[in-house]
Formats: sequence, structure tokens, C-alpha cells
Amino acid sequence: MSRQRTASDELPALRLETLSKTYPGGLRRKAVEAVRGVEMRVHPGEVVALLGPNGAGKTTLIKMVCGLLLPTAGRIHIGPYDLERKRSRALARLAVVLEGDRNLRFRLNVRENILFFASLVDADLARVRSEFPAVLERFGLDGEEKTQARNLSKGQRQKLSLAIAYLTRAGLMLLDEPTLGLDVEASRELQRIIRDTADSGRAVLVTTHEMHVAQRIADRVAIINQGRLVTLKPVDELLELFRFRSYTVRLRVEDGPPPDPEALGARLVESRDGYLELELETDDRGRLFALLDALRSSEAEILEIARRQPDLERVFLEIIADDGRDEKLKALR
Amino acid sequence: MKRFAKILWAHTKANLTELLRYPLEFGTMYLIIILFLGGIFLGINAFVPAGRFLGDTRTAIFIGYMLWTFYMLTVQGATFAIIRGAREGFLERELASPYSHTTVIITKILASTLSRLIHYLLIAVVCILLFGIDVHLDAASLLLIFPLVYLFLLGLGLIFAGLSLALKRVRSLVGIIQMAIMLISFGALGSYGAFGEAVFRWIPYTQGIRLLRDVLVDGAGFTHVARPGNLLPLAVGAVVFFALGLVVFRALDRLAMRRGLIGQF
Ligand SMILES: Nc1ncnc2c1ncn2[C@@H]1O[C@H](COP(=O)(O)OP(=O)(O)OP(=O)(O)O)[C@@H](O)[C@H]1O
Ligand SMILES: [Mg+2]
Repeated sequence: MSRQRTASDELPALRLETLSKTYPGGLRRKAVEAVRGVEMRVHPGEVVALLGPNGAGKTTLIKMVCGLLLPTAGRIHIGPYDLERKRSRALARLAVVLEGDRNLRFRLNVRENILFFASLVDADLARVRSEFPAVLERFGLDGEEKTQARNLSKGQRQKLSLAIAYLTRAGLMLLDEPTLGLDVEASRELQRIIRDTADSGRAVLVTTHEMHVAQRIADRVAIINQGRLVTLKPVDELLELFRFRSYTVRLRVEDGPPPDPEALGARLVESRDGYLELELETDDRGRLFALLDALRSSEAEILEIARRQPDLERVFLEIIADDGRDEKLKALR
Repeated sequence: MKRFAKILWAHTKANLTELLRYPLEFGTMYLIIILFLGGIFLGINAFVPAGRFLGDTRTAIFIGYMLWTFYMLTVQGATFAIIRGAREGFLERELASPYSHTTVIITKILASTLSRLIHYLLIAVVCILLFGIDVHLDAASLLLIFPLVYLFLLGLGLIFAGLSLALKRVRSLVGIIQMAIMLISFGALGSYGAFGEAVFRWIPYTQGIRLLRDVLVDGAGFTHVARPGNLLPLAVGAVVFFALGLVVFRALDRLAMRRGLIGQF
């Protein structure tokens, strides 16, 4: 999939300035600082994946951008428009799929839902009518035109919500966990559609817990933890930053004492019935050969040596674990 | 304006479509209303000695009923639509549009009325024909009174909408008001006493009922309705209540937006 970087001096489709949200406390509740000073830009033509653990503040951020939640501080610009001052113009440039199964009128059928929600954002209905057969086919909903939303499967409903957002042609798409609960094929198709949407010049901000999805479709990844934006970097750069070489060595030891991984500078991952898995985390090739040398003198038989590629999931976990201790993160900021 | 008409039509069409998805439920609902009214009218026939009084009472009940239904269509209909939207979740999706929340909610109230208006009129006609209710239908007067009463109800609808956004559990409050409105609807046909008269004159709903009674029962004409002493309290009251509705809704909506309550139920 294409990963064209857009010039960052171009007008961003979305610009957040020190955006913060504190849910006020009440009699028996404490105030919750859900989003803290987030600065972010999303440019036309790019997909930004917003990642973060449960409760990190992703949905809160999305809802502020849709005008459903008032920020405590900070500003939101959608295209050239400030959301607070030019709400109507700003929101006219936005399409959203909210978290969960909350984007459809269940008693209306597929066609009626599309036309209803398209009317609400003042889309050109003639265009929508002429385009939607093709879009339904694209989203795998052809033949379901007359099916009521409540009778669609969860995945089909998700596709319909996305098809509606897609059909409105807004310059900015916000998607809150769009691939949640989809089968592999449907998820892949949705990912393709999201990627194509961005490639056609629109900006997409998508939250997800599925790291492989983010890795596949995102140009940049924003990681948010406890309301704070920890990092916002191109996927490749993040992977590069965490590019430690890591080797996995699998051994079998029939007789004799098993080799001591500590002495070999490796970490024991698993040991069962004479099968051992060692992990060597290093940038120094010499240490791998030292390990192999040491194994030569033992009784161990080498079954497999593999080099592990860092993936986004691992990077994500490291960053979250590191947050607060601020070691590797200094490099990220 | 054209854009507003577009979203109003979209909401109205969606409501009508949803109503017609359940034809049995829908049909029996109207049957029940008509049977209920029929029962009352027959009951009156049986217990009240015949005479002019009888006709009056029936007409009075008819008017009271029609106004109460009008309230139910607007305020109640809209409040429940909002509660349902929050429960099923699409309310947030509807509100995340280029229009202000106030515009969206007013549209929803209007659409909720429009989509039931035909049935409302149908019940009126059926009652008039079936139960031989004798009313003077003066179109000009009715077209002056109803929109003003509606403006008042729109204000009330906005207040309820705001309350259900911010407080969620408002069904019982809605129920209480519904009872109060019913009492007023039927009670307004009698006399409130001097103090009551002074107060109720400025509440468009009761003033509206008064004027309707004058028109429908006593056959008063447009000049009677348009007399400043009659029209002014109605118009002023309607505008004031509508403005109040706007202010209260905005405040409650902002509260809901601060606390993140819109999508909850
Ligand atoms: N209406 C609310 N009132 C008070 N606190 C809230 C409200 N909504 C969310 N929160 C709190 O704000 C924080 C962020 O929640 P949010 O829903 O934005 O997280 P999230 O990143 O979307 O999580 P998830 O991945 O589980 O969807 C959480 O601590 C949550 O408890
Ligand atoms: Mg969320």
C-alpha cells in the first residue's frame, strides 16, 4: 500500500492545539483528566492511527473533534475553520464513525440509512444515489439494500457505518475502532478502503487496538497514554527507533547438562522436554557468534536461528511500559 | 432555509418509515384512541340527560382530547425520540453534524409532529364524523391559534429534550407533566376563578384552549380571536416560552457536553 508523505506545510485537515478535557467531578466522583494538552496535525492524504490502552482518552478526543464534547482547554481546527467559532463550516468537512454500534437507525434499511445520514450533513443526494450501488458492492453489502440495519450482522453494520462516512466525501474521516469485531476478510477489506480513502486525498484519524491494522494502514502513529500524547511518528521511524536486533535460537539437548543461558548472554524464553528457546537481544553480531561458539562445545543441537523484526505491537508495549520512566521516550519527543 | 427543509424532510421521512414498519402496533394504537373516545362519548350519552349540555360536553372533551394529543405528539414524542436515540446510540451520530444541537433537536421535534400530523387529523375527522361532534371549523382562527400553541409546545419540548440529555431519567417527570397537561386540557373548558384566569391567560396552552373553545363551540369568528386582549397574551406567551426553551436547552446541552452525557442513557 502506498505511503506517500504529504508536505507538512500544507494546510492540515485537522489541527489540535493543546487540547485538554477534564470530566468534571461530582458528589461521589472524582474529576477525570481524560485528555491532556494534545498537539496533533493530520494532513490530507494520510492515515494517522491513534493508539492507546483502554481509557487512554481516544474516544474523548474523537468526540471533542465531532463537537459532542466541550474541551476544557485548547483549540480544534478542521481545515481552515476553528471548531468553536465556525462550528458549522468546520463540521461540514468531517465524517465520523463513532465507537461501538451507534451509527445507524436500526429500524431503517441500508438504503434509508445511507440517504438519511447523507441528508443530515447536506451531502448531494443525487450523487449519493448514483454512487451508492457501487459503494455497497465495494463494501460487500450488495443485495442488502432493503435489509433493516437491526437484521444486519455486526460486521455488516460496521461496514454500512463506514460506507455512509465514505459517501459523504468529507475531507476528514474520524473512525473510532472501525475494525472491532470484524472477521479477517472484512477487516482487511475495511483496511483497504481506509487506505484508499486517504490515497484519494482525504485525511483519516483512526483509533484501534489492533496493532497489525495500524502497522498496515497508517502513515503515522500517535500513541496516547493517560490522556497525554506520548509520540506521533511515521510507522517506519518508530520501528527504526526500536530496531534492536533480536535473535531467537531454538535448541534440543538430548543428554548432558543444558547450556546456561545467562553465561551465554541470552535469555531463556522456554524450556521443556529438552527443547530450549533462547533470546538474544543485541546489536552486536559478535555476541551471536560467541553464543554459537559456546553452543558448539555443548551437546546441544541447533534447530533454528531466527532474527526477530520489531513490530508495532512490541514498540507500543515498550512505549507504554516506558511512559513515566521516560527513558527511551526522550528520543521520541 | 433550504438546507433546514432538507434535514426536516429527512427526519420526517425516517420517522414515517419507522412508524410504518410496525403497522399492527401503529394501527391498533389509533384504534384504541378512537375506541377510548367512543367509550367516553357513549358513556356520556348514557349518564347525562339529553339536551344542549350533552353536545357541549362531548365537544369539550373532544377539544380537550385533541389538545392533549397535540401535546403528546410534540413534547412527549420528541422527548421519547431523544431518549430512544440515546439508548440506541444514533443520537450522537445525528448531533455530530454541521448544524447546531439546537437546530437538530428542533428539527427532531418538528419531524416528530409532522410524521404524526396526518394521523392526528385523521383521528379528529373520524371523531367528528363518527360521534357526531358539532364544531365550527373556522380555518383562519385555527391557523392563528395552533401555530402559536405549537410554538409554546416547542419551547416545552426543548426543555424536556435538554433535561433528557443532561439528566437521562426523565420519564416520570414527563409523565407528571403529561397528567398536568391533561388536567389543564380538560379543566380549561370550565372556569379557573379570578386568580386562575389571570395566570392562565398568559400560558399559551390554556389561553389557546380558551380561544379554541370560543371558536369551535361558541362559533366565535376571527375578529374575536384577533382581538389584542385575546391574541396578545397568546402570542407573547408563546414567544416567551419558546425563548425560554431555547435558553434552557442551550444551558443543559452545554452541561451534557461538558460532562460527556449525550451518548449515555
Ligand atoms: N462521560 C464521562 N464522564 C466521566 N469520565 C469519563 C466519561 N467518559 C470517559 N471517561 C473517562 O475518561 C477516560 C478516557 O476515556 P475514553 O473513553 O476516552 O478512553 P478510550 O481511549 O477511548 O478507551 P477504550 O480503548 O477503552 O475505548 C477514562 O478514564 C474514562 O473513564
Ligand atoms: Mg474508546
